[in-house]
Amino acid sequence: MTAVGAIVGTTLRGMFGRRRVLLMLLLAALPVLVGLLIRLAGGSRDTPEILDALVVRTVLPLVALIIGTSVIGSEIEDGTAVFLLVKPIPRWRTALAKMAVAAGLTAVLMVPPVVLTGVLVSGATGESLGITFGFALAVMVGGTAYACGFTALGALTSRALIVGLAYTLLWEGVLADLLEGTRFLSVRQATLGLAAAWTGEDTGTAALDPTISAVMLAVVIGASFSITSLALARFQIRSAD
Amino acid sequence: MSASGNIYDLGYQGYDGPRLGRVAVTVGLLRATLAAAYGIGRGGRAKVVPFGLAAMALLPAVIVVGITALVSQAGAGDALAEASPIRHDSYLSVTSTLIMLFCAAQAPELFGKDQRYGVLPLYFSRILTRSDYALARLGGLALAVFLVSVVPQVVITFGAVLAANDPVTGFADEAADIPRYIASSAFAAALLTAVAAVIAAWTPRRAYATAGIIAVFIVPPIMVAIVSELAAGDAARFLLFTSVADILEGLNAAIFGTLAASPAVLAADFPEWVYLAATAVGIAGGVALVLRRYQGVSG
Repeated sequence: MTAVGAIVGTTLRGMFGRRRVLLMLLLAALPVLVGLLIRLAGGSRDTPEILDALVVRTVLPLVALIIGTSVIGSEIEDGTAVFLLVKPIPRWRTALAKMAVAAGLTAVLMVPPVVLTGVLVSGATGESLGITFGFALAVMVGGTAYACGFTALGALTSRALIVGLAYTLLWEGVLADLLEGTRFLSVRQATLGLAAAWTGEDTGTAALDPTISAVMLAVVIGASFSITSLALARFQIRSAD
Repeated sequence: MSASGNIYDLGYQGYDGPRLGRVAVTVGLLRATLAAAYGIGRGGRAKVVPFGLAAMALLPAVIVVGITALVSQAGAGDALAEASPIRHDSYLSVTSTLIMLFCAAQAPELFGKDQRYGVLPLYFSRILTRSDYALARLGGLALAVFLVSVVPQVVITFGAVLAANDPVTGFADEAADIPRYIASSAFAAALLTAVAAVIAAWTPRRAYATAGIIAVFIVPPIMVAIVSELAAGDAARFLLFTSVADILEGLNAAIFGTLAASPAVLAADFPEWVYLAATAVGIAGGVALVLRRYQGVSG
């Protein structure tokens, strides 16, 4: 497994030390900023709604999208993917390492802001802390699903970013308001389903059953892993555009 | 090795006829930019995203025209016209996400690519100045975005005229809205283009530029919505100006004389000219920053 460790290391080094990190830190800081504003205005009891609108709906998919599409996508764009793939490492291990980095980074970047925002919005008493940590856990699981899905997308197409944005903004955003049924095929709704189960509070809309949510997220993660492995196995060098 | 080579005189000579000037070159670049924004002149894969997004922006208009035709056959056209959620004054907010995605997808192609491939010196070694280049690129993208937002409105107008019992009265009903939606679409295209172009021109890498543009368009409206709901006061009101979508929402409502759909805009309750001023400042600032970028960049 040292090969996997080495891939994890190089991918991490590729992700940091670039302007991308700045953008992601800025995005992760925004919920905290809003939390601070709400604290200054006297706090609020609506932690689930605020965390849903700020984190689960926008910042989490954006951060997971930037990370997920670049762990493999930027190696293809830079032309270094070839050096990675000529090494005699099974492709599923490469896929595993890349997805582990994407999921881990997403969790590291998103869980602290969720906890901070939750504490800022509703204080650190027993009940509201429970809600905050329930959301943090759900964000970690949902973020893993997002990151894995977008990693697979990045391995499939060079325009992964725009396809992923269309998915989050149109399918989970605009269409979800019009067609209720899309919520069964939405990472966001599955994340909210888990959050509702763990916090005991829903965010207004009918939450998905936690079992269905867990199954959905597991399917997304598993399918993404298979797709990434397959895409890497059949990888062909293509132009960056 | 014998000396058997020959040098032929092929008759190469310089051109000293009349030349088209700076204006013609700038207009040429503008047209090329407009085509490139839709992937015209490039392969099929480059066309999928711009035409796909434009088609999705057109879809609600087509649906509305279809339903209008069916319902006016049944003789209940007026009742539908009052109840329909897709009207000239609401169309911008219905499709704004698509227009933003269009900007995020295509601005990096137009503003980043020449920098990435280091071909800017080829443009600047000709009569075209740096400012001409930047203005042509900005104009081309703005025109492309304008088409995405105005074509569906025109389709609705055509549908309404054709579905009316008498086309003349049908047109008379529509006539008042035509200059309004042209103005609203033009302002929206100009502001969205200016903001997207600044990010794309200063961020040559396509992926970062796309992510940056979308983050700037999508995240502030949500922050504004939450803050305006929970924390009344001037700080919350002025936060509105970080959100391009809300500025355009306010301007659209001012142009059509309707109430804005965004609760944050309603809560802020600025006078109407404020949105026009904010839009103008945003456009001017964006254009100035793009011009500045191309004064310095060596490619």
